[in-house]
Amino acid sequence: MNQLRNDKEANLLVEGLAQGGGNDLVRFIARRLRSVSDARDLAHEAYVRLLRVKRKDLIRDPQAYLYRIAVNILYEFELKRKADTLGLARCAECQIAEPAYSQPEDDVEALQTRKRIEAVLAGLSPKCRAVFILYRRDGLSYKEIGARIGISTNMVKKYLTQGLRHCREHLAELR
Amino acid sequence: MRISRRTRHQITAEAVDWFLQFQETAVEEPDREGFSEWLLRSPAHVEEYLQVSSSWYLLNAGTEGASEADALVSAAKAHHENDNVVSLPSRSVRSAPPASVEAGHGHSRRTWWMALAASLVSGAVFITYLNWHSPMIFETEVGKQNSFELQDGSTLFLNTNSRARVTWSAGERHIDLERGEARFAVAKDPSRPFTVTTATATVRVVGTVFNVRAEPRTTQVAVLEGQVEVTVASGAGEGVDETQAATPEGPRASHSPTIERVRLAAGERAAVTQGGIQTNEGPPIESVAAWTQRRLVFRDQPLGEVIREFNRYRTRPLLLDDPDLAALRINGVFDPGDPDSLLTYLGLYETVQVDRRSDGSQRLSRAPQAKHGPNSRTSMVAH
Repeated sequence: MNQLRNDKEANLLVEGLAQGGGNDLVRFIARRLRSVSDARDLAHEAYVRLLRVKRKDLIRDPQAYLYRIAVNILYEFELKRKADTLGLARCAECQIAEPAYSQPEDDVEALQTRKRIEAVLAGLSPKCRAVFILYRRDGLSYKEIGARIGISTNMVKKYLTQGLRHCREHLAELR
Repeated sequence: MRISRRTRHQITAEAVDWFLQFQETAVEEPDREGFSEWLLRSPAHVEEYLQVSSSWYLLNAGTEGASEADALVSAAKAHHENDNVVSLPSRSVRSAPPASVEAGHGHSRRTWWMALAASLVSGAVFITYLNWHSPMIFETEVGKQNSFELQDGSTLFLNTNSRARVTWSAGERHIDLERGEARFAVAKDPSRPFTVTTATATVRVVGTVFNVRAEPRTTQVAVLEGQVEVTVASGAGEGVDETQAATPEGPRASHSPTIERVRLAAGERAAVTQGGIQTNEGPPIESVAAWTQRRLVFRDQPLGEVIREFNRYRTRPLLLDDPDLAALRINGVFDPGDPDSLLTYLGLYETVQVDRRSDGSQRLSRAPQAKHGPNSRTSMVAH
C-alpha cells in the first residue's frame, strides 16, 4: 500500500519534471549521478528498460525517453534507500542516530564542485574555452561564435566537441 | 567491472557528438533512429550519454564565473594554435563529427542495398538460364546474405551459410532448404502450392511470409504473415545417422504423443524434430524478423548461445569454453556484418579477455586480474 503511494508520488514528480522540459530532468540526473554510488547500475537498469520500450515510441524522442527512464529509476533507488535507512533506524532505536541533514556541508560540497568545474574549464585552450563558454553560457550560435573569433563554423563545432569531451573525461576523474 | 580506456574514449566521443547534435535541433533534425540504435548498443552507451548530459549541466556552474565574452574572444584570438585544442598534456584524440558517423552509416547501408540489388540481378539471370524443371541452387557463404526473386514473384532471402534447391513444376513450387536459414515471401498462386522442405520438416503455403531455420536435428518455423501448414518430414527418421540415433531425443525414444501436423498463423512458431512438432518453440519473433536487416537481437540470453549465434556469421569462430562465462546473460542488438561488435561490447568489461590466436581464431576467457569473477558482472544481467 505504502509502496503504491510512493510509486504514484514518484510518477507525479517525474511528470512535473518532464513538463519543465529536458533541462529539469538532466539537472535532476546530474545532481543524483554524483551521489548514486554506482552510475553503472543506473545505466544498466535504464538500458534494460529502454530495450523494453517499443521501437517506434523510442524513436519519436529517444533522448527524452532516456532521461525520463533514468529519473524514474533514480526515484526508485531513492525510495529504496529511504526504506533501508528507516529499517536501519528502527533496529537501532538503539544508538545509531541518523546524521541530521546538514545544509552547511551541502554548500561546501557545492562550492567544491564549482571549483573543480572551473579547474576543468581552465584546462581548455583559450580558443576552446571561448567557444565553449560563448555557446554554453551566452547561447551564441556556431555562426556567431565563428564570426567573433574568426574561425569557421566547422572549427567551432570541433572545439565544442573537444571541449565537452575534455570536461566529461575530467569530471569523471574527479568524481 | 571497469571499462577499457580506449573503448570508453570512443563511446564518450560518440556520446558527445550525439549530444551536441541534439543541442542544435534547429540546425539539423537529429537522426533519432540512428541515435536509438546507438543508445541500445550497450549499457555503457546509455551510461556515457547520461554522463555527458550531466557534465553539460554541471558545467553551467563553472561558466558563470568565467570572464566576459569579449575578454574570452580576445584571449582566443591572441592565442595561436594548430590543432592542439586541449592545452593540458593529453592524448590528442581525433573526434569523429556526427556528419562523418552518419556518412559511415549511410555508406554501409548503401553498400548493402547495392549488394542486394546486384544479387537480385544475378538471381534473375540465374532463373532465365535455367530450365523450368531442373533445380536451381542458391547459396550463401558464411557471413553473407542474399536475396533472390523467383520466377513466380516470390522472394527467397538467404541468411549466412545457407543452401536452397529450388524446383518448379506445373503443380508445385518446391524449395529444399539443405542448410541454414531462409525467409520466404511467397506470391499467391493457389494452383501451385509453395513447399519448403528440410531434413526434418515440410512447410506448405499458399501465400505468406515465413522464416525457416534448418539445423541438423531441428527446424524452426516462424510465420510473419499469413498461414502455413507444417508437417514432420515423411522421410524423417529413416535416414538417421548413428549420432542422431544415439541421442535420447531421437524419434524412437520419444514417449509423449507426437504432433505431426500443425497450422501456424502469423506470429506463431514451431520447432520440428523427427520426434514431432512443438509449437511456441524457437527464437522470439522479433529476432526472427531482425536478421534480414542485419540485426541480431538478444534478450537475456546466455553468452554461450549468443556466441553460437554469432559464429554462424563468422568464418573463424569465437571460442568460449569457460562455463561460468557462457552462463552470463546478455542483452543487446548487434550487427552480424560487423563481427567485432560483440567483442567490443564484451571488451567494455575488464573481466572478459579476448585472445587472438595465431590461426586467427579468438578465445574468450575470464581476465586473470578480475578479482570478483564473472558473478560480479551481474550488472549485465537483466532483472
